[in-house]
Amino acid sequence: MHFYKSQGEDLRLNKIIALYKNELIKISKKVSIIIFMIVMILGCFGLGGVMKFMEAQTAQFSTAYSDPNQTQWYTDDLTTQIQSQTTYLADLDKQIEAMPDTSENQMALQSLKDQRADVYMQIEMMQTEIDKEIYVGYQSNFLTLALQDLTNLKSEIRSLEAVPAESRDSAWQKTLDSKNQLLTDYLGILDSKNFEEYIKIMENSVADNDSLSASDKEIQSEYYTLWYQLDPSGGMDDMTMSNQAQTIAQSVGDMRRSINDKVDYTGYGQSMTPMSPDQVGDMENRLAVTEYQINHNSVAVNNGMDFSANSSSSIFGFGLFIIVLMMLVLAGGAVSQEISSGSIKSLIIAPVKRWKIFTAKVLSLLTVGFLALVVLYIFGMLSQGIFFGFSNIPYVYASNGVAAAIPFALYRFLSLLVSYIDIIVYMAFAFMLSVLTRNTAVAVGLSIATYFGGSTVMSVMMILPSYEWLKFIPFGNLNLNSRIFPFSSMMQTLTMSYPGLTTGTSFTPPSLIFSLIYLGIFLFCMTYTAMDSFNRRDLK
Amino acid sequence: MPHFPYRIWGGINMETALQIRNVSKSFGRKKVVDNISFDVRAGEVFGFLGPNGAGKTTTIKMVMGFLTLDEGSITINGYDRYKNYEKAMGCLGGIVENPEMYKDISGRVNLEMYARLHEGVTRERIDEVIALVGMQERINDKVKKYSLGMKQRIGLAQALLHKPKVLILDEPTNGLDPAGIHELRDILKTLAHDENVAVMVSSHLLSEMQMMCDRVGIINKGKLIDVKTIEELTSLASGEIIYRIQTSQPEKAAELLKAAYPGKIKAMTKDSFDIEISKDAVPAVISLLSSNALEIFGAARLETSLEDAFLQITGGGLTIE
Repeated sequence: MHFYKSQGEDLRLNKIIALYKNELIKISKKVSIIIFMIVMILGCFGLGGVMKFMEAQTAQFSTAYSDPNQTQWYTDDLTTQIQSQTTYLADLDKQIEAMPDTSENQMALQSLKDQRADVYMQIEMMQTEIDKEIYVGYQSNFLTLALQDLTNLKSEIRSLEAVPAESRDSAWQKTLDSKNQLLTDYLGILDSKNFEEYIKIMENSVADNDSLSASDKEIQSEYYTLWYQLDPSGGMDDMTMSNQAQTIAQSVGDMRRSINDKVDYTGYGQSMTPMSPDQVGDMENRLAVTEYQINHNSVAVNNGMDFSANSSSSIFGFGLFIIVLMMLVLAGGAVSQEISSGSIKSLIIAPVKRWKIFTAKVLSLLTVGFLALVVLYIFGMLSQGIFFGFSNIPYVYASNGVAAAIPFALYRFLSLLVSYIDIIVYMAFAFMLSVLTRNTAVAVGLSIATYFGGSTVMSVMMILPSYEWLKFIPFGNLNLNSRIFPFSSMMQTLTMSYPGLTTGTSFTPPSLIFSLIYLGIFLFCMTYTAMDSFNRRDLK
Repeated sequence: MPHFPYRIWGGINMETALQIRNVSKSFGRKKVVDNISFDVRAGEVFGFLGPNGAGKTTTIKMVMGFLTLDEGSITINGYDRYKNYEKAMGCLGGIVENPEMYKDISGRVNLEMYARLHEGVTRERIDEVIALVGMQERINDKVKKYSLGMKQRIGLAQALLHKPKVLILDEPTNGLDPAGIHELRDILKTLAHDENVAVMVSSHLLSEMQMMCDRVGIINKGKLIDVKTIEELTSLASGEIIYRIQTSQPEKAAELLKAAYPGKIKAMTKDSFDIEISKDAVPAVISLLSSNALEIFGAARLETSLEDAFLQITGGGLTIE
């Protein structure tokens, strides 16, 4: 009587496939997975919705200054200020008259006169604000700049006119004429509120300014051209809060100057540091990306914040966070949970070698991680599409100063694939702990702590002197996304602070090839340790 | 290594299905299993008897692949447990301690998952085994809803799924009700005697062994003390047994019996005495007493035969629950 067929070793692959199927069934029946997935999907739509809501809120706020009540309040406030300043002006006049014009009084007298000129300028400016209905306190369009220029111009003209008749020459006359011409132009702009006109005047004044070098003239005039290109309304369309277009145009100029002088002018609030040839290359690439984005209209100039890009980055950031947690919980319990619940018995009794069980478990975890990323991709793109439209700005990158773009959908997918590498490393760590400690709480807890501790370690490394051995710390080799897609932060905040160029004292991440080889070896070591222990150790 | 005579059962050759040779295992410094050797033959129910902590489960876990061997070898159906692991394990089915399944998964899917790891287990076979253990009605429930007895049944189903040549059950009657125990006994006997499976059952309950085993291996403190057939065990027990005889005059009775059974009177109370005699001698003792006008109120055997034999084998150092 034959009860069994011979169990051939040629079934090796079949056994692994069978074990793999079983592992997938087990994982699919876990309640925690379903909860993680639901949270992730809800997060995708929730974050998209929140970003859309915030965008709407900001848009409301940005139009608040056209509210008649607000403008009335502002006008009243200006009127009050003018009154008090006029009183102060009269007071200053009295003081000046009362002061004897003696040589020892010259300093004090001059200071009073300067003060008077300042107060006068302020009154004049406030009066113009009321007259021309320009509200500097609320708005940041080109008119407020023109108004300030106008006020300065008036003061310049006054000081020119104060020049005694005997010192006036033809140059003086010429300057005065040009200033007066400019004054007329400005006044015309304040009436017509024509931005194009303003840009022309500014470009002309740059061209006429003999104190600027040829390259500076070029950069300055490009600034105005870009500003107009980015925001043809000059901030008059009630959408621009902090004038993004100006900042972008400004940053292009800064980068050009930095490249010309090989000195970094773009680090906000940082000292201007000389740049190495590599850093100049970096800067050229960043400039190329910026220009590409400007020329392809993929720059958001509204609201000072690009909610669409912020939404996609927070959706996918949150999704990845959930996936990492889920995978650490799964991997950290993969072996220890089976041991503690005793269900490992039906695996051990089965006619399969332990390394096959191990391999099937690893493969199933990799599969589930990948599927979770696909789910995130689908729902993330869907949420982004529903709330911010399906045409998102592409990922623009540059090498050797030449820019090119990857469509957003493809970029997001590739970026998730790169994140998968990080996830695999953390997962292998959790899995190894699960095998070695046979304690789910320790494995999950320790691996999650490491995941969060990693960023802390990195930030400590950033302030440490750059020792060569630091690149052998795993954390320094992770986070491949920021190195494979170094321009991704420019999608979100083109104008906000660029990551400052790495200076000699902070940690420079190792090269990509080094990191990949390093991570490969690291993964192999963890997997081998875990497999060896799993294969050999007794199950008491 | 004691030699066991080659036996015939039901006309089927009783070849060795499970061979355990000089197996030892230590946990730390403690030697839990010490140079154990025995065979389990196809077609027999082999009892593995010993008190708690004697090394029964450790031995079984070594056979099942949970533990590595420090020394010795284990052969299952001719396949070495190390050299031909998958073939050896393919011939083996069993339950270690309590059967544990995936709790969030139904009994049927659990069985299907296990079946996938064996070759040639059909859907019909799964249904057949479910019917055999009487779990048809609850098979689609999640395992976490099962009682211990139901888990035992589903565990047995899993162990039988691939028609193993060797079936090892560790304390299989745990959690079963008397009817279930009876049923299990029948299943095991049928498997062994009719289907030529080598069945090995561990227990610390002697009475259980007596009812289902053909042979019993007795283990204590990691050492295999002896292997005996049930017949051998009971014949050992057919020696002298202590009887307690209740009578109004125990002293007088002792006087009367002193000549015929010198030194066999073991204890005496006000209304009874204990005497160590063979079963055959009981009628003679009673007629002697009654012919001398002593009133006999009762005569009872103090210890069961197997326990007695067991104690004899183990040297009395065991506590049998």
